[in-house]
Amino acid sequence: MRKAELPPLHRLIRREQAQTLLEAYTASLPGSSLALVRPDGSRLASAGEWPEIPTAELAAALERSAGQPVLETAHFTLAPVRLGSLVVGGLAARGPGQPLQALQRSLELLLDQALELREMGHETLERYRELNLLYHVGETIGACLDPAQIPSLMLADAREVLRAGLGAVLLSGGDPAAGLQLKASFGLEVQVRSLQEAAGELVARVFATGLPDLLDDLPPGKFQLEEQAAGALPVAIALCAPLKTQDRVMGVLLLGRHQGAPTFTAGDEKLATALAGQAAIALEKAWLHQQELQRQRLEEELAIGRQIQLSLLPSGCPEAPGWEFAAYYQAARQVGGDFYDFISLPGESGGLGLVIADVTGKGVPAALMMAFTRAVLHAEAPNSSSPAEVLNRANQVIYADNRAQLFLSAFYGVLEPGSGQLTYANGGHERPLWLQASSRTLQELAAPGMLLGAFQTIELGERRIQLAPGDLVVFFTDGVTEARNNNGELFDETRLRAGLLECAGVGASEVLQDILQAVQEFVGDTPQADDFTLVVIRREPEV
Amino acid sequence: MNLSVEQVEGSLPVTVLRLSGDLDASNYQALIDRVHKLYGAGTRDLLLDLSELSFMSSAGIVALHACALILRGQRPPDPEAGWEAFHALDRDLDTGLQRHIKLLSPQPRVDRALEKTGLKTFFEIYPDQEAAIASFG
Repeated sequence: MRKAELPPLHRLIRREQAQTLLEAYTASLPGSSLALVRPDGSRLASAGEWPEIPTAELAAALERSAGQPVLETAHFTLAPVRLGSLVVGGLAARGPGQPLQALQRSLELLLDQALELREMGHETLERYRELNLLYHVGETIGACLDPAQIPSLMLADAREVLRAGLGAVLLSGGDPAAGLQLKASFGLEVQVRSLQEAAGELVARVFATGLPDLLDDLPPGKFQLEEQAAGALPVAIALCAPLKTQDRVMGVLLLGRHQGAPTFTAGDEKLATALAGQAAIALEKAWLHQQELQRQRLEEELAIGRQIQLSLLPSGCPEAPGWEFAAYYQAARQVGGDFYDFISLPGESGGLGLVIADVTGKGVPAALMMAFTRAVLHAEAPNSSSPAEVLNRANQVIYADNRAQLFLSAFYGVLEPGSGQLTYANGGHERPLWLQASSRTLQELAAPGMLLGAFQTIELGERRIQLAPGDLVVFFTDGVTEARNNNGELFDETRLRAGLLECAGVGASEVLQDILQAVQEFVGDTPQADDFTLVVIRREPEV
Repeated sequence: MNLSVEQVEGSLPVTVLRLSGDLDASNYQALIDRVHKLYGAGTRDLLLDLSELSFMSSAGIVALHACALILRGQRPPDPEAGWEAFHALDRDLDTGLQRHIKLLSPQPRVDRALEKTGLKTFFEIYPDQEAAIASFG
């Protein structure tokens, strides 16, 4: 390595410097003369009466002297000057008693020192190159917030600074089984593939250990023939550096050179590692930024969902003589798809449609589904006095148009305020609880049924009850029964029932408040995952 | 929720997938993914053992429905792609009990959820594993 890079003599010692040195020696020995010659016999400096000796003669003598300390010829004495094992010049002397070997030794030491200084200069240069690169990387890659762009930005730098003919950035995706994926590359495509293939083990090792490595004898790749066909020299040299942050390796930078090109140096390796490290930090930063954007979008979406939902809930409760209505809705942080509705039905009896429903899912899709369902129910309800029929038709419309993979449970009842008759069907919803004033007992409003939106045809049963004065019915969603306290326990239907039984003889609004209070006392300040909806209707007792 | 798998040879090979803990919005997708993988690995008859499942929210209902679709060889519902694709596949398969996915021993709370949502008309439910395995085929 060092031999090939050895600079010529005049780069290691200046002509004047050599001259001064030689003159100092000849001055102490009058009548003598000295010359410092290059390997080709040409003179770099001389002192005393140095005659013109043909360069060819000197060069030939120098060649002969290579193996020995000093060579005597008819015209002069010659001592080769070596650096390491390589002859870089010769010291020729004429005249009496020259201490040639001492001078030769001094010169060699001087040259060696000069060489060392030169190398240190190179090192400094290399450092400068590295700093410059990192500064540049900081400005470009470091400022990039798009993770998709960083690999190619990084390759552009690597290509320029590391003088590689081929390059690729491989990153691991979310799925470890899928392995490393090519994110960007430069160079002939078939050669990039060839490089990836031939350097597979190198890449795997660097990815696993997080330490850079290089190879200068890659085996011929699978695509060798295609490479030849494309007129390219085979790839033979590879350098691989990890994209590493403090706690993980996210991929590698892989660079390649053709057969016959100089191998990558230790300096190249350091540079590539520094570059890959910077890119890894930039990637991490860009990913975090994207996550933040996504989180913001989600928040916005949830806010929109909440708005849609709130705008569609009834602004107040209906009024009917002899009846009390109370309703309460509370959105979870992640808005769910609860809703309730009162629909005035046509006809002389002044029928009132009562809806309580819960869309599976959250956010905008659930809110839209709720809006859609509400519209469908409003459209279907006036056409039929049969709740089962209304829910059935709604199911068909929702099923046919259910793009969002959402279901909903819905209870729909038709109340005739005059008679107190409540006819209902239940599409898979929590069964409302009917508190009978006379017996102080609770009964579930059950009926055969199924969630809406999941199946094309569903079987829905229809039931009819007679609400007596003082009776009340509580409609709710699973946000009530599945409210959790900080031990993870559910509020549960048992607690709801127990609370309700204590409410006999109380007005609808008070019942609602009592239940709310019981739930709030139970959950404390534990945040709730689901929407919470309660509707209470009560037939006023006769006075 | 924990999931564990066992292969049982009845007259047909049946995969028993045991669910334990709570099935809710935080993990229902894991159940769908697992069943999807099992189907990919060759499972054609699946018994979901619910005996250790203590709670199932409405998200669990969605998951059971999705699992039934997978066992029918339909792709699992992809919220992004929408439903139209498999709606078009076979509209009249939607009713009737499922032949390739059945449920084992739900606890009372889960049983109630199945009852309330109407899914009992969709899934056969068995009280013991032997009878359940024998019912496939």
